[in-house]
Amino acid sequence: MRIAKYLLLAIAIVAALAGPLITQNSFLRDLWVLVAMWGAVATAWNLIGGYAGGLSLGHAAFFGIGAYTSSLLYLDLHLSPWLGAIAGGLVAVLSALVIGFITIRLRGPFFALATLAFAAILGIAATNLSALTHGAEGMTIPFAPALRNAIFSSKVDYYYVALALLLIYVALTWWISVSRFGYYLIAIRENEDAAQALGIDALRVKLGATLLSAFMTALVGSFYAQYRLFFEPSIFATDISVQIALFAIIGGLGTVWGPLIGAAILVPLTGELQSFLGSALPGIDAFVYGALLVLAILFVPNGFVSLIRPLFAGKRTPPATRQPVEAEAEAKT
Amino acid sequence: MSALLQLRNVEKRFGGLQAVKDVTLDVEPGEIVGLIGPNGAGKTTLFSCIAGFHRITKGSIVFDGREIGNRPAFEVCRAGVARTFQVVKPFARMTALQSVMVGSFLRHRDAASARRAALDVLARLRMEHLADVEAHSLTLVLKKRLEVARALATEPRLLLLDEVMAGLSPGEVPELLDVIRAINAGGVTVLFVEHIMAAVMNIAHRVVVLHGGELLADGTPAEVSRDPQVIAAYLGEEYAAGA
Amino acid sequence: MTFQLFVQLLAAGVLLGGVYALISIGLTLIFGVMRIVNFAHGEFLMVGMYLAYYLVTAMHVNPYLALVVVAPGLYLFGLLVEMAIIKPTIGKSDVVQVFATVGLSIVLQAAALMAFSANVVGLNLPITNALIHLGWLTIGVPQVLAFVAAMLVAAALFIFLGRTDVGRAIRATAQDRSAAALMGIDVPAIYRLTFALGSAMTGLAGGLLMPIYSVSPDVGTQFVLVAFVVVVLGGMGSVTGALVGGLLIGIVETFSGFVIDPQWKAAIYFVIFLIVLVVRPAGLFGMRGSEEIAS
Repeated sequence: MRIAKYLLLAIAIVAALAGPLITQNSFLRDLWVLVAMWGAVATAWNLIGGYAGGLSLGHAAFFGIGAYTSSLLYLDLHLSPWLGAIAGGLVAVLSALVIGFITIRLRGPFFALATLAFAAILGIAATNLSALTHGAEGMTIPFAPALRNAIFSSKVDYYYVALALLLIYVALTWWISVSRFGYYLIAIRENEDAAQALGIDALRVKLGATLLSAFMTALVGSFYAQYRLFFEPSIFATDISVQIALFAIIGGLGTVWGPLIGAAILVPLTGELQSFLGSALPGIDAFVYGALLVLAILFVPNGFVSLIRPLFAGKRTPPATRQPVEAEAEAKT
Repeated sequence: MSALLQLRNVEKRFGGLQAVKDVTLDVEPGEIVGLIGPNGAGKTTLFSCIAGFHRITKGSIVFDGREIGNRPAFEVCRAGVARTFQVVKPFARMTALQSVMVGSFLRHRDAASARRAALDVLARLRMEHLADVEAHSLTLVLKKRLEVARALATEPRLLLLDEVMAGLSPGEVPELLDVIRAINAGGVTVLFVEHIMAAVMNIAHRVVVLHGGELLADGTPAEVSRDPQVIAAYLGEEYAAGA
Repeated sequence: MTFQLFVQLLAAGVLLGGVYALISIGLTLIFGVMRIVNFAHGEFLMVGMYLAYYLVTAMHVNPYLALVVVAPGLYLFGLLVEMAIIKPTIGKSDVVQVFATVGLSIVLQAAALMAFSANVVGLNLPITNALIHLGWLTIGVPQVLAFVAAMLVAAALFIFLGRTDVGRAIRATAQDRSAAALMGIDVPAIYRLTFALGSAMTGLAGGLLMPIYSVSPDVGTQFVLVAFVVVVLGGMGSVTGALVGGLLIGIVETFSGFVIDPQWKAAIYFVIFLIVLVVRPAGLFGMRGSEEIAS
């Protein structure tokens, strides 16, 4: 089992590093970039959505803030997008602080609705503050490839930037999951009262996770702007927030690898559905996609990670200690 | 020497309902105090007031010389008061060990030492063999015991136990009493709510009776069980005859 | 602002509010009883609108007569959705409940796109353009009819919930599902009925909106956010709240659209929405704590 695990990890690392090099096909290279990019955003979302149990439907807000901040600083003040991305992250943290104070006490669907409204307000603002944001015509970044401009002529270069972000985020998530902060987040998700009773300042811990998640999401938003070189206020759309959440949910909420696995499944799926079905009948791709989502949510509620995990669960929970307890539980309760 | 926990004229109203009326009570360091009373007497409400889950409408609660009345629950816990819940609140998808680690992280920042402390607590509760079992698959009795373990892992000076023996068979009671005695011997003051009278009389140094939100009696188990008011209100004639 | 203009705006606001109340009643009923926020609510409205559109244009039915088919049609539709998608999510986590209906909304929008293409279509009949002149005050007939219907639906729902055995069973289930089950109420059946009933009301709303608005596959997204705002403002689960909340939002929208750039009016009610969530998450008429029960 151990050997299988390391073997799989080694294959994954080689595949991740060499992946886009084996093809010249621009569509396929784009898919590699998008998987790494959405995998990173979903990993960021997972901190608040998966670990802390706050079902955000407004992460497009942070994504869009990142894109707008770095692009505006680059176009208007010629600040390198590398620094602009950090600035975008800080703006996202500030906005997360504001929205966090408002929403952090809300539970379940109410939190989802409030975060959704927040992103919607930003979308309206981006459309109407045309002097700043160029309104509905969107932001266009001139193609000027240079390291300083964070613009590259090859998709492969973009891929490695996205991959670096993704790996940092996954590593950070792993580190959190085994440290005090991660235990606290899960405890709050599982039972907030019990967590408070054990000395956990739940609001503060949740707010911390929100700020971190906002920062991480905004960085990827800046990346997206430099990669596509064009975006509109629709970057704040609910569809994007829903997508981000779905990657993590389909992959496996509150797990280290789940969000990436979700992105690796769904991003190519959407791409393929669009190219094969979309031209046949408009809407059929979305129909199949939506139907698959509903089925996945109903029948694989713990995400695809839960299907893979048994392969690795060698020594963690020996069935020998587990079975009798479960039997006892059934007998007594 | 002043009391570890001092309740002075504590009152809790829910709208028109006065759940706790003018309760004044001291708990001395090292004591095991049993809190008894009929259903609806306000026992759990009083616990929740002490632990910071309810705001009190009057009075003061001082722990170790510090006012903790109307402080948030997490602060009360950090000050050294830990509680269990009458209706268990497990971290369903965490293992027993992980659940207890959530508690031990309060005094141990890094995971390795929090883990060691948690294993130690599980051993004291005699549930180390259940360390890797997820909380949702434990029996109710074991879930209650896991609540004690979690609370104990925060290394409190005062432990509030809310009906942790409910559901135990008569044969299982003595074992848990031993565990509680051992916890107390380790320097933790215990205030507990319990309905199993034999257990209360066996372990408590002192018994406090709550009735209709008011303090009805306060004394040694023997004194309280002879108190005519207590007998009338709670213990019943049968018990008086037996005692 | 002149008095005449004020009255004209107020009338428009109240009528718009009636529409908003109408599209929110089904949502709040379903939430109040089942504790489920139907994120596909807007698409149910869209289905109702298309059904009405089809009946009027292809079968030449009077748009108001079409309601006789649309409401039962959506009742049936709600029944099927409840059994296939909602029932399996009862008692599951928030994630499952929220995203099952989010997925459903994607499916329904796509289905509409396949069936009707992305074109925006509307009705253009004498009755949809009819106006009433009261001196200097001018109001549209479809708006008045939608408003009256909203009041009638709310009144009928009140009587149904308050005076009939089934209605009482629904209210009991809303208050405490396990106690209701212990009293012998068939809770799954009540859920099925409630969801179908809520869907029928949403369909009715769609049918009444068709003479006023155009329909397209994504029309639901325009209305669903307003419905959420109305329901949160009025109090999740409160029918009175949906009425009052709808009227308030309608009036606010009409006046703010006059005072500031209409482009910003959606931002106004989202801000109201956030303020309500902060100040009084239970809404104007909701039970305190109801915003937390869903967990």
